[in-house]
Amino acid sequence: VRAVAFPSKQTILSASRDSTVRQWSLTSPQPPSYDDTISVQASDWFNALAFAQPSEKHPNGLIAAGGKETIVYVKEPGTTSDSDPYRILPRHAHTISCLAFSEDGSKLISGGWDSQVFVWDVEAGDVIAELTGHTMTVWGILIYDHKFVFTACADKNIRMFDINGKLLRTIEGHTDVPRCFCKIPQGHWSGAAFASAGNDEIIRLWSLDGAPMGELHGHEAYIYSIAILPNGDIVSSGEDRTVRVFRDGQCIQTITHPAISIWSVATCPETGDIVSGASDKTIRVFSRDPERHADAEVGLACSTVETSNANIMHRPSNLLTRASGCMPFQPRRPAKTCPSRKKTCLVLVSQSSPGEMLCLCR
Amino acid sequence: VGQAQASDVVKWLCTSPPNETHRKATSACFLTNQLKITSRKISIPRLYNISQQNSRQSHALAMANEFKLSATLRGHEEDVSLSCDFPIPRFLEYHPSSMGFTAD
Repeated sequence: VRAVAFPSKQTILSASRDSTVRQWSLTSPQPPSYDDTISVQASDWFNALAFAQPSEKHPNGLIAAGGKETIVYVKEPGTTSDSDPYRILPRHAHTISCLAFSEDGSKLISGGWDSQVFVWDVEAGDVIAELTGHTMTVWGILIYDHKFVFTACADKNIRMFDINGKLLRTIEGHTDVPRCFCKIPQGHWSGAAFASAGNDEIIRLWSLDGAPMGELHGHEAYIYSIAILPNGDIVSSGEDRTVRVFRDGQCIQTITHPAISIWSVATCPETGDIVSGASDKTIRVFSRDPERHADAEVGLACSTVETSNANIMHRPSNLLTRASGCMPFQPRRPAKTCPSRKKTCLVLVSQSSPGEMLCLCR
Repeated sequence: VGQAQASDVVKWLCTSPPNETHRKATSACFLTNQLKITSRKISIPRLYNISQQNSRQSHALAMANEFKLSATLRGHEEDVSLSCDFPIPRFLEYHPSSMGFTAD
């Protein structure tokens, strides 16, 4: 599950490498359970997902998703894969890696492996601006407000544009590829305007003009996704099996998953609950409200929760090995270790020689 | 009170005004002695005043409102494609016809 969104307490959205976008609707509040509907069935896998808040034109909001097919599907929530998309937006030349709607839902910005970033007028279905200058894959987009847009590029830079495509600033600071953003509300304990994170395993806090405001440490591998809770806590997920919660500059909770990659995390603005999408095909919802907790056995079986006042190092729990119906937990161990970098890297497997693996770390 | 969990007690104390918390803590300790909570372990002023939090307080606050699993959603299927999660350098592009990797 490569991307998740949590627009309301009734609805979760997910996009997956199984080539589907699904809408999960709450069917029972206690214990919480959800039924899924396939909103989009594509021919290749999805990477990115975005949700536009309800508007006068679209009272249920809009869903946008894109991936290896290189087109952006825009669908209305509640529709099935049999119905035509509201818009199909073809322009990218390679896999789409990130999407973001403007606050009013009128604009959609897409970024991809082709180093291109397009600003779309959703109603017209046209590109109205391009954010240029990227030399490598664009992994993340943040539409800060009606004026400013940030992009995270594999060239390790964050770029700040105006919505019409003018480059305003290049922000350096990440020592490796940045991948994701979240907007920080005014009055936040950090004083920051937005946060970014990525392969250097650090969540970095920035002012609007690109001045570094702080760093949040704790992750032990790539960070793939960050989000903010209504109370100002920052939530992150990554390649170290964890979702982490940060408050006042400290990691206050680590939720270890029985999956290697936690590709995406999102927060519900209504309830403050968290949803995660992981490499084990599973979506998990976490809540602070005891009324929405799963029963104790399920909780033990599918996650271990660590709480600390300090930055937490990974601590495998034997609890997970007792689980039934879940993957047996194994201490974090790279599938393959890249000798040059001594960390987890991705590999290609040759069909002709299944035992042969090719390291592709950058 | 007899069925309260330690986290419930901590949450109750955290939401109390400072002049109330010591009295409540004493009551809690008395009524929930099976939880082995003592007034020495719950430091009231530090629990209440977030701006002066220290490590013990932070820990207690986190314990009081930690995230727990709410639901598990299954339905997405296994991806069996030979797809890579990031752009492959051109010189390493996979050529199915030759069943191997070739240099460009």
